[in-house]
This record gives sequence, C-alpha cells and structure tokens, in this order.
Amino acid sequence: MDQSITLAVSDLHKRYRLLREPQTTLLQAALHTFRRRREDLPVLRGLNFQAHAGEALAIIGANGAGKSTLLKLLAGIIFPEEKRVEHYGRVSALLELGAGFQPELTGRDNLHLNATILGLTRPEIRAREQEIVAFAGLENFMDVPVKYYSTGMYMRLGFSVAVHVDAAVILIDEVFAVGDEVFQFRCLDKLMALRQAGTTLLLVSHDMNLVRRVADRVLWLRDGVIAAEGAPGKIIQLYTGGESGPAASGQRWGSREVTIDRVELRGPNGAPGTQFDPHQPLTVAIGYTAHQRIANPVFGFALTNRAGVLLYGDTTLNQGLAIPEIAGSGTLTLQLAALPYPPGSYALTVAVHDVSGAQPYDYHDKLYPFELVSPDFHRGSGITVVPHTWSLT
Amino acid sequence: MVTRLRELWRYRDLLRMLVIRDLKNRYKGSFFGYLWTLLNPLLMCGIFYFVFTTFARFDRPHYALELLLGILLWNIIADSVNTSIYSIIGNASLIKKVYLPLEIFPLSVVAGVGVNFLCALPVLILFCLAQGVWPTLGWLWVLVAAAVCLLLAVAFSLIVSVLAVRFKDTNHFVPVLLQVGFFASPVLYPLSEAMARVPGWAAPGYLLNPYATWITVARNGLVVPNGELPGLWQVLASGEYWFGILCGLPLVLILLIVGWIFFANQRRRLAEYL
Repeated sequence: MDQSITLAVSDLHKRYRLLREPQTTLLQAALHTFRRRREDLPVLRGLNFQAHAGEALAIIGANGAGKSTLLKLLAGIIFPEEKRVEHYGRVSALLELGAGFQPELTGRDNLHLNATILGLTRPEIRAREQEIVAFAGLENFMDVPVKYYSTGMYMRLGFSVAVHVDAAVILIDEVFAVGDEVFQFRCLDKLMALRQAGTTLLLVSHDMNLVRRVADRVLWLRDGVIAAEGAPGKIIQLYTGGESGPAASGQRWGSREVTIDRVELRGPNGAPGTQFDPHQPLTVAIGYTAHQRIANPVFGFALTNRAGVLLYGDTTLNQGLAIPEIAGSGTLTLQLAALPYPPGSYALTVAVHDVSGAQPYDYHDKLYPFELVSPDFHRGSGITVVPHTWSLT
Repeated sequence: MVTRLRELWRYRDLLRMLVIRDLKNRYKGSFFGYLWTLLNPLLMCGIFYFVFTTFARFDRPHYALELLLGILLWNIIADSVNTSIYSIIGNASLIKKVYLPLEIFPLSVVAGVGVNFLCALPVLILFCLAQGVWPTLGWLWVLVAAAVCLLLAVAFSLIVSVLAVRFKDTNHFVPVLLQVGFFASPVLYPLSEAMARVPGWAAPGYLLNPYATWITVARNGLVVPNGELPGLWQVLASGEYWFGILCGLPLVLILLIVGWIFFANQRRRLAEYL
C-alpha cells in the first residue's frame, strides 16, 4: 500500500431514508411497520478517491451535490451504506468553528473541552495550551466566559484548537465564509504550513478563488458522483462553464408579455464564455421577443458578487436610451467597459419591465453566473478594485 | 464491542469533562448550588416521612433513615433516566458537527448522578449518627447496592437516550413509567411489607426487581440490629429473598447487554435523525 495515503474511499454510497410522513411518535412507528412507505434518496452513488499526505484536495459542486454529506461521512458523523471509509490517522473536522463551546464556561475551560472533544488527551492539551492561546491571540481573555467573546474571538479560539490536534486529515467546510479578512489570511497561512508539514487538507468551498489558491487537486461532485477530477484550473472551468445557464441558481419571474430568450456574455474576441478578464470589455447580447406591442419597455442589468451583494445595476431609462415601442423579436446589446472587481464568481441579472418599474415582464435574477480571472492576481481585499500605485518619496 | 469499549476508554477525558461541565452548569448561578444535592433528597424524605408516619403508621425503628436511603438509591436510577432523555438531543449541535462516541452522553449523565450520590453520602452518614446508628462494615453494602443501581441506570439511560431521538413521546411516557416504578418498588415502604401483601404467585416477579432486593440488602447493612448478620447475609439467611438476589444480578447484566446492543444498532443513524 502507498504509505502516503491518508484517506481512501472506495465505492462509497449513501442514501437518506425519506419517510413520506416522518414517524416521530410511537403510534406512527407502529402503523408504519404494517405499511412501509419508505423512499430512499441516494445522495452519494459510488465515490472512489484517495488523498495523500501533504495534499490539498478541494471538493466543489452545486448545492445538493453531496459535498456536506461526504464531509460528514469522512468525519464519521454519519455512516455509509455498505463500504467503509478508510482513515489512516486522526481526522479533524472544521465543519463548524467552536462546536460545543459552552457560553457559561471560560475560554480556558472551553479550550480544554473542545480539544478533548477533538480527541486530545489531557497531557497533550497541557503541552499545547500555550501555543493554542498564542495563535488565537487571546492571552488576556482565557479566564473570561466565552459568552462575552466577540464572534471573531470565538472563531479564533475554535480554529486554533482545531488546527492544533495533530490531525492527519483536516476537513474544512466553508468555515472561511466567516471572520474578517485578516483572520482568513492567518488561517490560510496556518493551513498551508500544516500541508507543508504533511497534513492532508480536504476543503469544501463555493469560493472558486480560494479553491484555485489552495487546492492541488479538485473533485467536482455532481448528483452524488464525481463528474470530473484534476487540476484546479481545468476543473473549475468545466464546473463554471457546465453549470451556468438558466436555473443554475437564481430565479426567473415576470408577466412574460416580453420574454428574454437568450443572454450571451462575450469577451473582447467576441466568443461566448463564462470566464473573463476584468480589464477587458464585456459584451452582453440580450435576445428578446415581445409577444404583443409594448410601449416604453425598460431593460436593465445588475451585477452581484458571490455573497449576493449588488455591485452595480442600471437601466436603459437611466441611460437615456428611449425605446418607444417593441414588437416581435430583437436583440439588445449591453457594453461593459471593464469589470473593476477582484477575481471570483459573479452573477449577472437581466430584466425587462414597464416604465414605472412596477410591472416586471421578464426578470432573470442572477441567472447568468460568470467568473473573473485576472492574470495579475490581486491580493487586495474588498468587493471592488481601486486601481492604484504605490510610490515612496 | 471490544473496539467500542476501547474507543470509550480513549475518550475517558471527555467523559470526565462532560461530567464536570454538567455539574458546573447545574450549580452556576444558583444560590444554594451544591446544597441542592443534599436538600433535595432531605426535603423529599421529610415530606414522605410526615405522610407515612401520620397516615400509614409504619412502626419501624429507623423508618426515616430507611426512607432517605431508599430515595437516594432510587434517585440514582430516576435522575439518570430523566436526564438521559435529553442527553443526545441536547447535544445535537455538537453531534452533528464532530465525531464522538455517542455512548459517552448517556454514560456521562449516569457518571454525574454517581458523583452526586457520593456528594450526598455525608448527609446520610450524619443522619445515621444523629439517629444513634454507628458505623459498621455492613455500611459497605450501601455502596454495592448503589453500584447495582448505577448499572441499572446505565442500561436504561442507553435505551432512553436513543428512544428520545426517534420518538417524541419519550419525554412524556418515561417520567410516567418512573412514577409507576417509584410506587411499585420498595422506596417508601420496606420489602417485607410489600411481600406480605403481594399475592403468592406474583412474589417472584416482584422480587425480580433488582432495586427491591438490593435496597433491602443496603437497609439491612446500614441498620444492623445487635447480634444479627449484616446486609446480604441477613437477607440470605432469612431465606425469603434468595430468589431475587439470585436472579437480580444476571438480570442487571442482561439489561445492560440489551441496552448496549440497542444503542449500537441505532448509533449509526442517530446523527441523521437529529
């Protein structure tokens, strides 16, 4: 056997039992033994993969693809159908930072409790206590009950304990979605150091930028099977390309007197795509059909980032483009000069409504996801990019 | 089973921490704190003593003492089972996020109850001395009986903690069952009184209750009339209760195994039901 394998999964299946009516009372349970109307929902359908020491493996996929189920199986919280998950070493799961913290107890008590929960023995905890406290930067707050902690302090303590348990495998489920930027960078640095030292990182994230930065290898999970596996750049491109288009996320509503039939995002070379350079212009072609004569329609667009924050939105009305009347099919073209945002995942909203804005004809809310990829990687933080230069005088 | 036990042993520190956590949480912010551990059985005892000496007229030399012991031992079972109902449900947020050997939650409840019992022992001793009952080796039978009650508590707690996850009825019917058990077991009255009234055919069944025989052993051990054998020997010598003594311990063992197997069977699905 390959000595460097820390985690191996072969033919992993998981079904959830779905009961038409959940049997939560004894009477119902008794009745159900006579009329079993049980349905099984397959979540994972035969996964095979291995993780090696010092490797960072990322798992991506749409909501409901089975990512969290997989992590819970790997952590041993739930159990697979037939096959086992083979572990070679201690697994530390960061499914939630500070799980099991007792608000009434002090930081030190919680440190001990949390470390014990994660499987450390008393002498091990004593040997590491200093280090854990120092990394969390909470030297002066260890005798304060954690109910007085700020969210950041709480997170720092939870993270610090979790990464100090000498795990062979660390499972991380979107825990970086919380906490400030400084904390995120510190956590990442620590995780990178652990990987360098031979720890396997297994990361679930929707943040393609983080995945690109951290992962050595990416698994794309779709409907409970591994759709693709390989280098981050390649798999992310497949994933963001494959899962775009209407109904990927977001929603559509409206009275449909006018329908938006086709929305195409084109880069500077004119070819449709889902990955763009923020410095380059982006062209959006909107194909519409007016099913009856519509006077004074207003078209609009909006850009949102991964967190759903509206970055910018505008309409033809505001721009002074008067459309007196439309009938039949046509195409409207929207030119965006540049996209001054950091690399990451974004979504485009396209809509057409009446002049008052009160009646939407067709609203495609966040239906068009796309990625911004920059060759000159921004390490700056924030939701927008301010072009800048430094000089020392 | 051996691997499960070994894993539990590996998590013994957690068991200790959980017990400490529960004790700290129980007493934090309450004015009397630890005193409640002592006051509670004493108050119960006072009430029942008043009722039974006034209305039922038990004429026994150390009835109050027997009552206190009965309540203390019964509380080992009752407190464990009542608290175990919430032992897994109450830790759902933790169980869904971290791997833990789940047996540890009902076990920590019973361990906590055991610690509480030990904390209440000084009261029992003071009570004995106040009544003019002096220490003998027979007192050790109290600890043996407490151990039997703790084992019973483990068996029931394992079952109840899982049932509570699966069926919402559990927190309603378990306290009722405990009430029935309280009056059906010789907590308030001596075993001899019960045996005198139970019809002959039902007597072996009544004696099957391990609490019934072992509380009697403990009571006889605590209060040793002059020139008599202490505890178990006295009970055995009386010849009446040999059936219960003989069957009681194997029954406790069987209950433990049943509880363990039931828990082991359900363990893997628990996190999904929470």
